[in-house]
Amino acid sequence: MTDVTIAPTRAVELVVHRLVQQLGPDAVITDELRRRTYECDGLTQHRSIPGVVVLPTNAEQVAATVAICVAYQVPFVARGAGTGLSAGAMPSSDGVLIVLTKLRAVIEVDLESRRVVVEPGVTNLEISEAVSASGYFYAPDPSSQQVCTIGGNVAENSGGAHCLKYGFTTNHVTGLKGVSGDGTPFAIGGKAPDPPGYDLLGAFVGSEGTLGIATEVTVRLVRKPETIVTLLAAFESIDLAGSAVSAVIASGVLPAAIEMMDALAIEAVEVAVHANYPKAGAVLLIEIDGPADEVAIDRALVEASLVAHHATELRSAESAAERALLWKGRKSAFAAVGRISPHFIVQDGVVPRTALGEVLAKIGKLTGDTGVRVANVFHAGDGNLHPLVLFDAAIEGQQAAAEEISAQIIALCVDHGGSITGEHGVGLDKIGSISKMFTHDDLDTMQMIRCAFDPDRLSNPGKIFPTPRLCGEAPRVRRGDATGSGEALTGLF
Amino acid sequence: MTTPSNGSRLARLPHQSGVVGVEAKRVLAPTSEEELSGILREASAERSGVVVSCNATKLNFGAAPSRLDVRIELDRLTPQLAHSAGDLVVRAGASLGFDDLRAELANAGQRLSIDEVVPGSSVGGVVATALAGPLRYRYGAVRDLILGARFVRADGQSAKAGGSVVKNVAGYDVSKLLCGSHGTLAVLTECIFRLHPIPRRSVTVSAELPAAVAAAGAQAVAASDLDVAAIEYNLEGGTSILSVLVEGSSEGAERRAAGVAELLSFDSSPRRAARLDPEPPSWWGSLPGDTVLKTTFAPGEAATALELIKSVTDDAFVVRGSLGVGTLSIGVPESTSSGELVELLGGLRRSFRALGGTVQLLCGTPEQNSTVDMFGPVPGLDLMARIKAQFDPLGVLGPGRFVGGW
Repeated sequence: MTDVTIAPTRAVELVVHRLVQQLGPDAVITDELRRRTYECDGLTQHRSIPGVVVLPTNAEQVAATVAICVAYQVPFVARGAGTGLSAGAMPSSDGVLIVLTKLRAVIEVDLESRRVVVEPGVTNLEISEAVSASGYFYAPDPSSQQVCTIGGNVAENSGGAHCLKYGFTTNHVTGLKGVSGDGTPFAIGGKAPDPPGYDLLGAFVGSEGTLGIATEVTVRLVRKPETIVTLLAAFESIDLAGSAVSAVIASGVLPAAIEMMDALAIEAVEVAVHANYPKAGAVLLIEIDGPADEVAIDRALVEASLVAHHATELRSAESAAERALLWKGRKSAFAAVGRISPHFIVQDGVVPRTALGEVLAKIGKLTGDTGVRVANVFHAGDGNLHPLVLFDAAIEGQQAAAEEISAQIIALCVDHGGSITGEHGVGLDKIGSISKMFTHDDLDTMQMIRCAFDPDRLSNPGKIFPTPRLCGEAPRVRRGDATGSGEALTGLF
Repeated sequence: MTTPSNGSRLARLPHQSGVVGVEAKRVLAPTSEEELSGILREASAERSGVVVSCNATKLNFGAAPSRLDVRIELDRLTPQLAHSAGDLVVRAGASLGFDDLRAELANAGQRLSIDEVVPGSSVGGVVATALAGPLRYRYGAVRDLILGARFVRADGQSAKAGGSVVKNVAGYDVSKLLCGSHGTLAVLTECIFRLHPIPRRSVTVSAELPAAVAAAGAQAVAASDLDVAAIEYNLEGGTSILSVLVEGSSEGAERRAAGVAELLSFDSSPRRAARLDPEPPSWWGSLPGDTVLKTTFAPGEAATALELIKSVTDDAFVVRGSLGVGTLSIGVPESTSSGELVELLGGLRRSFRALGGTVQLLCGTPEQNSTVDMFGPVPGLDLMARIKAQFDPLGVLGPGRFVGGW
């Protein structure tokens, strides 16, 4: 390895020197080629080569790295497996990228308390694997669970197909240790519930790495259900499938997962993995789990809803092998789309469940004569859409059209009372959309938390918020008028 | 502060103007968010101390305010309610009665899976105190069911967080931060919750078991695949009872309840047979007294926690809580002096620390709340202080009421 003069700025040079002193030369990557491998996360259109990369092996080294960054006022970004889809882990070219994949110890498995304590580099699936034989699992299951790390899950508040019933990362984290953006160490919660004071766990989980870095995570385990049944239902149209989803929810059943794929997505997975899905306008995958007799009753209710909404075909899987086959198509859908289109944008938005049919119909009309196609693969049960906008960058104008359609889809979600992101996060990618959902004052309030944890905005700067709040402002009284201008008005009352 | 021109903001007859023994100089009852905003703006300008309540059922859940210029009562805010049954979501005004909300949702066969621990609570009060009962074992605490909130900050600025869809990761989760903040960060005006269908059948299995056996029973039920909704314990007048709530379909709930009863039939215990009831016992989900110590512990330490509590209490105390979650509350008898309470609390805090837990004085008499350190050691207090300084830099909201004494 050749020594490379990195130094976008003098500060990074100084930091490199200190990092080598503290962590040793092997933990510090300055070579440009090696740094380049970290230039983006799963959303590859946003790239930036990090100023320097460090690979700490324990929490103390993470804290030391942050302390050095704070001392030199150099920004830092934490990164796990790099599977994020919002450029949330895109590095700063003049900052430090802290890669946490070497912190991968399962510190404690406490089955009596149904808790596991892990380091942030442990993968999501490793937690379930560690406790599977004892009859437990870790519920949040993002599609990338084989590789994505729990640290990244905490940052993004990851969900997954089964969060319809089991909730998100934030509902399963009971303790965190780490270091805030200004280097303050913290240890909140643990195996016991309800840590006293403000809910810092609630604030930290899902903050996309902008409040600091978690170096130890305590999660809750869930008992494996007695029975799992997976149903596949085919429909002539996506509208009918959408109505069936509403009917299932209205019937009082809470399935573990309800996933939907449209005709184009089905076509793609058939080409890619031969999942043997029926030819249809849409398919639903519905998983019901729980005690055997409850599952039997719920299944009857669900099947009745599906039939009443004109399901053209109904299949079921009861063994693990059969289930895996039904899920194979769904889980490979994103990759499969790559086979039928040279380029695509994965969108992530949420609509109220009752608006699914209407929004899907509107999305169908967005493409017009642009040549762009939209494949829908999504978590229908909680209204979390993942439209895949397919285009060919070689055809003039298609990429721009695809980006425009993708933005319009998000606008549709917001117009229908939904969200700009259900699980991928805002990151850098949606920094321009968040103002569609929140006012300046809403965002300003959120950033009060940022100011508490990271007043100098060193931790993952430039993400989530389009306009940073200045933290050092003197206390003031705001005028209650619509301008929200916030001039000091002391003495007027 | 200027004399309010709007009649609704005229000082009301203070039917209960005191907060933990401190009298409010004025009581104001805004009828709209705009009025609330105006009151808070003025309070900030004058650096007043403000305590917010709605139905005033939990004013004793917090320390004495260090200053109390204005009490704001929210019970004249319009109790809005927008139920999207098809989406299993409700948007509820903070002033809405919690039981009114439940009644409305029940009409559509749905519920907010949060027990009303203190009767007469408002929606805002439940969220501000984050009081959750037995159902939290299965459905999570208040923080797990809140999807969004609207609120007015100390500086009078209105803002919102979250949204009205069940899945949403846009921006920071300010709603969770406001859960259990006891009105010291902002004043809630509206909350959005995730709902569940009302189960078709509920059965409670109760067994009289010695404390240690009850803890083992709770553990066995939690480790089973019977998928129960709540695991509660009550020790009152020397009678020690474990009660388990099973929800589901008619046949399914019965069968699983029988399964639970089977699990609770310990050969070694001087048991009476576990009983199956359609209704939970009378103590279910209520606080064990007027002065209550709340303990938390790693759920696997339930037996030790119970043993520790038993070793420092007698039959005059009531012990009640969610063994499956890892929390037990202690109802302290009226005869206990503040000095004795301080000693009891100190001893328990040392013991529970070893179980990874905490002990707080959840509520007490004005004298107790003023004498005792209600919250004990608070990990992360430095970060909390900074959050408070950001949200309420002038220390207007509930000064001295919550952790840190701010």
